[in-house]
Amino acid sequence: MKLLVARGLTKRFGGIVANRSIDFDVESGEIHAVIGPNGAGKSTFMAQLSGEHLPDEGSIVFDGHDITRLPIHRRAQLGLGRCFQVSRVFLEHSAIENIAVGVLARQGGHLRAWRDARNDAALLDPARRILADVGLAGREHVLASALSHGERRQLELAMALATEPSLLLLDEPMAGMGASESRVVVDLIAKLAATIAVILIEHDMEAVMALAKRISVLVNGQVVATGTPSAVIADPAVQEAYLATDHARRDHA
Amino acid sequence: MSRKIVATLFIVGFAAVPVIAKLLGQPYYLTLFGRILIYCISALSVNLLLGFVGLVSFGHAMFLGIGAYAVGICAYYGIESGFVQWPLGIAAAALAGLIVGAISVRLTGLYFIMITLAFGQLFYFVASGLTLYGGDDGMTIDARSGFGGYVNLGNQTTLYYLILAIMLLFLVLLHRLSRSRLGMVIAGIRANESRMQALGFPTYRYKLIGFVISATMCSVSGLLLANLTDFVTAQYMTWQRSGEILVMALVGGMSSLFGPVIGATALLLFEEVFSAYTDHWAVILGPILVLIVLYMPHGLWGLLPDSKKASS
Repeated sequence: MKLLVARGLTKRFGGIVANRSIDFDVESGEIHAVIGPNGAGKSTFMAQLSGEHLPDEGSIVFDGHDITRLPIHRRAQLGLGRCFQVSRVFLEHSAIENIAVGVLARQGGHLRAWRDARNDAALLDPARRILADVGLAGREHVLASALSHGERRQLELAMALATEPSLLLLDEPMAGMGASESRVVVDLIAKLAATIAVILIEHDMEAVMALAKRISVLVNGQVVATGTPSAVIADPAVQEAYLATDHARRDHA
Repeated sequence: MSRKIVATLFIVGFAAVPVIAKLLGQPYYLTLFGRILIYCISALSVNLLLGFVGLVSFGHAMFLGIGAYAVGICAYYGIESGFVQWPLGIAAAALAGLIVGAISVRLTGLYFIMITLAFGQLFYFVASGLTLYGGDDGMTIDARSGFGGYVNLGNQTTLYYLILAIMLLFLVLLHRLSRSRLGMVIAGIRANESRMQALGFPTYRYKLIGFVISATMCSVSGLLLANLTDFVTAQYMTWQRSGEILVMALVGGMSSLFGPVIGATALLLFEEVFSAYTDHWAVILGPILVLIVLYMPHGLWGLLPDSKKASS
């Protein structure tokens, strides 16, 4: 079943076309990676899916809903989770409190202004479970600011998971990580994929090859290839595109 | 001295004012500290936006003015019942807060400051144009809000304790709010609005709710001020007054619940003491404020040791 279908997505910034008529889809429970050289339009594409940028042309259907022009929070409520390229956790709060905010997003009751939420088992119990799921057990009372870079990524994932998404947008989850930290997150994403579909933007090709069921290659704002990892790597159009941009960069330098 | 002790001392001190005023034969103290408590309420309300939601409102005197005018205008037409005046003032402020907020909270930073300032000025000019009700010269209120036979605000001590009780009630409400689900959402928006949107929170709606609650709270300080001074004037709504309320919250410590109370008390007492010696007391106050803002990001409250810092 197709969980997300984007058709003809186009986004222009002034005279520059950042995304040109992108067709893209995600099956339920699939990890679909998006790769491409710097400046290929991956972030713009992600921003259109999450709702930060509205497309100039094209449509996005998610889980049967046309979300093309929906605001960010409506998409999230429908089950489109998101992790940011730079971790945006609440640094002054403990790990468990961070996750509790995610649980709260799913549970509602946000207008309750009197009852104490900080000791609310309805929020903390699910939060504790998710904390263990992402491998942060035992760190629940540590302030997010005191967590390591890798742990913050895990926490960022946990917050998104707490909203019980059916599709997760991951923007370079391995960025700036050491090899061992990277492994933890790769394993985590692989585990998630049993129940949640993932769109993965990542430069770490090793991680992409290990995780992705399909890969789409974005070059100059266009999808030049989509397919299984082995098919995409063998695709002459992909090789040419990567080589061409490499040449261009070398010439430029 | 820990924060808890200081807060307790403040509250006990406020409660003792009527007794001390009587002992010293200085009934004026009741008016002075009544006024201080009223500004504590204004500062608490503006700090709900400043410290909790993270928005700098430069127009909150408009809500204070709405409360004061509800008492004044009702009294002008012979409606002296507080059961009418107060709900009317609070409802009017909530409505004004909803309209002003709906337009303002879409904006952030400097733009939010400018639009609230503009709305504040708009309300000020309307009030000063209402010459029927005294405009800039003001209008004396003949009788204080009446509450049947239950509470007689004509008695200065009764009015003082009512003001204190309302201030304490607001402190409790804000404390509960800060620990509630709504408080969690609002704190999250202040820390990182885009993160909250990505989690599925309609942040605009929650900022608006915060704005309306804050406006409503501030109007209560206006209801009380009109009663304490037996007077209402457009001067209650000047942008300078909006600024003073903000400075009170800032000086006391906007990141805390109790800070605005410290700030309002400190500033008004400073004014009281130094204005007796010189008309230019503001010249002394100015540099002190600059230093506080520069070197004390958590205000006077931040100077006190936090006994539970490790756990919070």
